[in-house]
Amino acid sequence: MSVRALDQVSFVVQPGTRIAIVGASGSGKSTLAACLACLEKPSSGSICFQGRNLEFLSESELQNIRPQVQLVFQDPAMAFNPIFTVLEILEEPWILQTKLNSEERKERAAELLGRVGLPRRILDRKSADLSGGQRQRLAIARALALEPKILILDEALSALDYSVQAQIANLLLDLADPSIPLAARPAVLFITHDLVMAARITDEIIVMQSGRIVESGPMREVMRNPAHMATRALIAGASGVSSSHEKRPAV
Amino acid sequence: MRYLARRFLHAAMLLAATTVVTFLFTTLAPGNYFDEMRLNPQISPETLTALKARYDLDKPLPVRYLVWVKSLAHGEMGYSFAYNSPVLPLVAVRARNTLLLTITATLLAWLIALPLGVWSAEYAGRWLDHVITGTSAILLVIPDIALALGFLLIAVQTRWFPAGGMASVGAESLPFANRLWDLAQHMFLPATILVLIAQPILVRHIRAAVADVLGEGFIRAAEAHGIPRSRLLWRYALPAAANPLISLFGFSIGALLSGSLLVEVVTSWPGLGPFLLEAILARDLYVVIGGVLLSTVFLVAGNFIADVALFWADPRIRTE
Amino acid sequence: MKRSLHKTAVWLIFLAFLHVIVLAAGFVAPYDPVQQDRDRPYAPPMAIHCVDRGGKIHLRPFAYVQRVKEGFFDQYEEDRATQIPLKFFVKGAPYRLLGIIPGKLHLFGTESGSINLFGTDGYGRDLFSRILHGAQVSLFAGLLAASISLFLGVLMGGASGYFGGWTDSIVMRFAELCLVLPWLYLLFGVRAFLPLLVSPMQAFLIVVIMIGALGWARPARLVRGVALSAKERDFVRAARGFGASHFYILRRHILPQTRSIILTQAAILIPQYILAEVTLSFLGLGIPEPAPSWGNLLSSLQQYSVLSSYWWMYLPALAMVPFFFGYLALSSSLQEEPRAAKIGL
Repeated sequence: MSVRALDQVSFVVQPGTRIAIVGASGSGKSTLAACLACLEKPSSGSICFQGRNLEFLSESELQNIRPQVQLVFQDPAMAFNPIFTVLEILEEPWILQTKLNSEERKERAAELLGRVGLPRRILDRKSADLSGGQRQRLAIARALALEPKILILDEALSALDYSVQAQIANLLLDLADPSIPLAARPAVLFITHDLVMAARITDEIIVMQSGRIVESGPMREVMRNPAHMATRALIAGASGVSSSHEKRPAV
Repeated sequence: MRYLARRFLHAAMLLAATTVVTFLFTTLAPGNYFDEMRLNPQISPETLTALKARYDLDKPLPVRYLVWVKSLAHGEMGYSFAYNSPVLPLVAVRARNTLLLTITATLLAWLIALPLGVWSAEYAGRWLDHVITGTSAILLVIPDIALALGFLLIAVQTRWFPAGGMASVGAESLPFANRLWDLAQHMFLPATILVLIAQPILVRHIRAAVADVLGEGFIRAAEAHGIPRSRLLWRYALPAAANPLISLFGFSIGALLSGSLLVEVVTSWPGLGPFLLEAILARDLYVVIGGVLLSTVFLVAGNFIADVALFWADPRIRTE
Repeated sequence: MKRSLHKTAVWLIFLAFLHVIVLAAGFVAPYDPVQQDRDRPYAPPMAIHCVDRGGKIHLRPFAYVQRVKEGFFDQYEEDRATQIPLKFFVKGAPYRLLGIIPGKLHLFGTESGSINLFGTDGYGRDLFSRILHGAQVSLFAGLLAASISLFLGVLMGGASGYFGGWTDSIVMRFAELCLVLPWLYLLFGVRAFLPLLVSPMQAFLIVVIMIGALGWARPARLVRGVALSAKERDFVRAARGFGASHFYILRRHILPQTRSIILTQAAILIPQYILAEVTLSFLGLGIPEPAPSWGNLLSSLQQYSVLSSYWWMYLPALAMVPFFFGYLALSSSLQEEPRAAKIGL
């Protein structure tokens, strides 16, 4: 009997929306993220971006699509090449996808840093010199470099201190604020097992268990009336955040 | 068991591939043994053609290879042009001479290196360690050829021991014990050189392996139980360090036939190395292939023996 | 961390110094390496003195003329009556530095008579000069072969580790085969079986290239390891996400991580290949006469007469030692470079 990482997962991402994908570890969230970002291919089924089925696209066409779906990873320590400076990290997407010269790239990089609340002077530093929170901001900055249509955050806050998490959460809220015109505002897919954070940032929720979607809908309603046991278990687990003694039902 | 079968199959395939490659190498190059004869006006072209046909040199490559493989199955290895006799007995005698030398040298090398490595690890940082690692470093830095020639020079200048060959003239007529002593005297120089060449590498690896193990918890626990240090070193630490050392020993076995070429040439030891060299220069095709095959058999067998020994010694591999 | 960088620098400078001397062999050596002096075959090394028989101190060092002993044909003695003063920066036999820059100036030499610091060989050629010029050949062979091995190793190992799958399997199987073959014999075979039309120099080059080519397997395995772990890193996936091509990722992200392996392997391989060339030339399968290489300088030692009477013919063997020492020390200090310098791997 084969194990599927994802089983009959089907949903639609509208432009500019903020969706949380929650589930316990092993529920298939990261696999989903990788497939969406075109880093892995699904063994069956199709992913369509702006109406085009990814399966039928050639490698070079995929190269054009990938920049529009950006992934921010969980571990800020491994997300950057240790030899690169912050400037090199940020300008890499532009070197690959645009024809900007180095002056322009530097300006844009400074701008981008400002958007995520980082000072300009870190451009010459190495990523190892930054704190965890700063690195995640940098990762988000890099992900925004090519103005993606979809921004996926795969457990991006889990490795951070709680206070730092709150700051980044605010940043995300600002970036995806509904007042920003649709053209400049990415859809946010927030993958996490932390329901509290998810509730803060997103409007919709999809719950996954063992590779399947077991529940979905607007955030408020699902939180108030969870239909599936998995959802209820997650809520129960989340409502006693600091309690390690509390028994969690097996999901 | 399946693991072992897999490794054996792997070794066999490697051997087969080696024979193909060697065949290709030596036959693709233009020219053959009889080219020299072509220059000799006394030998007519018809004789040459007949000779070539007799040795199948006019047949295409794959045919020659298959013929050779078939004869291998019969326990033969082809025919030597230069010596006008089957290859196998010729090669076997030389291989025996080499093995006599290298087995002695390898055993000695390990017997000396083991205590040196263990003590070096045990007294790490103290003067004994410095002396041992220092001497190893000096030996490592002196290239093999310098070591071999240097000792040869000493042998010739001081006449303390024979400086070449395997036996003195007329040794066959001596009684067995004297012959043995004569052999030992002649073996002294090449064996010493081989041991000295091997020492630094062996000592370094043994030291590293034992030092790793000595830092582990179970050693400290055994110490706390009051087990005497010497027993601790030899009965506890060394076996635990066996893993990398077994692989190393496998290499030693593998190099039994191929590692002593230079030393044999320098000390005129009648082994496989100089014989093959001569055959190569004379383009004696089947001797070359036979010799290379034999050396590779040892190399591959060495690796395989190491695999088997590891399998037997380290239960972790069995459960993989 | 600083201390080991210092150590590495020290050994690099030491090696560079040795190599510069060798490069400038034409200048440093007093004589042309192929210039024969049939009157003085197998002359022993000449001692440099500062104090003469009368106890007088000379500011300029000198040597005594060697003359053949009465009644012998191959033994020499110092002629205490005649001195040869040692001069610095003398004009001597012409040479070409690096094969291009012509020159006539030598570091030291004499105006009359000849000074042989290491003695002469059977043809009366100055051994000291031959050792220096021979170093050029042996070092060049070592460096060339090492570069080829490293280049191929990075190429194959990088491709194998990065692309995985069939590429990986095939390359690794091939590597195993290469590691198992007794390549020394194959090398001899190739050298001996090379058609007689190819000049000995060309044959030598072919052999050096082959040595290098056959040695790709060990560095390739190490590079493969680096590529395997590097390709799973998030920053590589991120670059893929920006539409980076495989070539870009290999060049910009994976290759730089192999720097330390390349350096360490270079320090290990170069002396190995120098030794291989020396062995080949020693056995007569390397660079042909009259061009010197450390190997063929030593080949006369295969004769008993030389071994027993002309011990100074062994000196080329010792010439290798400082180089090997430098490379060995460099490789140990490179391996010591702390893990802190390789963050992320």
